[in-house]
Amino acid sequence: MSLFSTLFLKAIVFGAVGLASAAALFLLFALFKDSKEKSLW
Amino acid sequence: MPDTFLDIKVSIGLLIGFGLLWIWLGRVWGRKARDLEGFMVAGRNVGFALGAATAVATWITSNTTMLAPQFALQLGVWGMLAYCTASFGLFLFAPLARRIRALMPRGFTSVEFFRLRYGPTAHIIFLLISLFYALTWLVSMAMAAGLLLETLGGIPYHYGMTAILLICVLYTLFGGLYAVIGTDFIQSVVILIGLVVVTVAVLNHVSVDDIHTQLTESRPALLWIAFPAALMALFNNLLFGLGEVFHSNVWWSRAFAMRKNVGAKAYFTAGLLWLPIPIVAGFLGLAAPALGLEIARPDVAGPAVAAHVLGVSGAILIFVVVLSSLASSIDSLLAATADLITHDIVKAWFIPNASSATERKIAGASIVGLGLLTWLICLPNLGTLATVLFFAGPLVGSAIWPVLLGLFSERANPKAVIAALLFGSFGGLWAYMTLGWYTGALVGTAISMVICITGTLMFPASFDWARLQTTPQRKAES
Repeated sequence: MSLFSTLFLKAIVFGAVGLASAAALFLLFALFKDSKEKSLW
Repeated sequence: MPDTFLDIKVSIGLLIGFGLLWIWLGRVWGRKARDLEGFMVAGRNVGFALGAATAVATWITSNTTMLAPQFALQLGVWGMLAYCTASFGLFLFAPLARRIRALMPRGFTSVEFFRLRYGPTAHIIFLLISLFYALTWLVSMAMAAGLLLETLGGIPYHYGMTAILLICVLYTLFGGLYAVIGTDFIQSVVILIGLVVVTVAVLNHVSVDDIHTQLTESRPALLWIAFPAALMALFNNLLFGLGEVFHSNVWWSRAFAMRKNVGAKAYFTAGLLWLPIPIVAGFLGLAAPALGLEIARPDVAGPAVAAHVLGVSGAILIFVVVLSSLASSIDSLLAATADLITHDIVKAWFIPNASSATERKIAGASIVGLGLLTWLICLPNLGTLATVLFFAGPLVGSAIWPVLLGLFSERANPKAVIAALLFGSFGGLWAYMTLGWYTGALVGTAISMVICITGTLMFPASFDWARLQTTPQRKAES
């Protein structure tokens, strides 16, 4: 039970940090792509 | 724990620096917002990157960055996950955004949809619900701004609250939705990077294993999979979030503003990008005991942890994250609520033949008036006012089914919808006050659903979708 709960905590913490980092990079990449295609707004 | 986390000179410098940057950007982008379409719906041509970022930034309020650590500290792992369910509002709004854009290519507001779809009575009820929700959210954000700038940076409540409101009013006034969406992009990236940097720094100081061991020994309840209070919070948060997003003009105005075929993709992506934020922020609260921090005030657990592991730079990072999360919500509320005042009160009832130029001026005046009203309400610093936002739960919950049926079923019965809004709101408020806070949105939504579906099945109406395209704007033009 303790092992499961440690793994669960690790999975959500590291998963969330990874996803949040990817989110920032993704937004910057999407902005660059839209800007290149002159489709920002 | 120190009285404040940042020297007052540094916090004032940051406030002025970021404030001037946003106001300058508002002026620059404001050049595109000279006509009404530019000012209210950013020319209806917003692309994917800005569309997704504005949804993420608006949905990250100061509650997300400050309350998530408190949730984690008090409700444990499931407290963080409960907060994540608010992202469902963005996910599920994706198909609605596509439908809204297709049905109302020249539309401006959510209340306009209710007027055209269900008639004048539903217009009034839905307008009252929308205004109540928007104003209480705006007041709670402005009050949070005053309190947080005081706690984090030592800036007295009245100065901090006034400064944030003034900055947001100015750049929204200059640039309309262009300024709101543009600054939202910067704010969303700042928030994401700031939180990741602080969390990685915390993980360098203490491992997840240590945190788990510490929690197992001192507060095992926080690791329970079935912590009852957290499970109730999870369910209530989910429905409250759905009601907030489905009904609010903050989200509808963005659906009108995004280019065709962008809305659904942008909202779904925004849900995905927003999802990790409550966990990342909440983790700071969960790490506090393992770092040996005595947290006297759970609402500032996040800054306390950041300042502990990163010193002054951590405090600066959190200050900027909080500043961005406050501004990104306040500007959106100012713009979207001013649209309601302009389009659904002044134009609908008092100046039906107003030209676009007149409407543009009224929208500007509405932003200033709204800012002033919010400032006056926040001035006495009555803490109980901020909690009024939770009364909105039953009200917005009762709007979920009228919005869904109105968008997707031509048979939705307007009388049933009016009854659903009224009985759902009052029934939900009754439950909120007598049964418990966690039942308000649930009961409001359930009553509204039963009335909407039963009324529509027993007395189906027949609606011509083309009527949604006959906006007052088009009438005046033809």
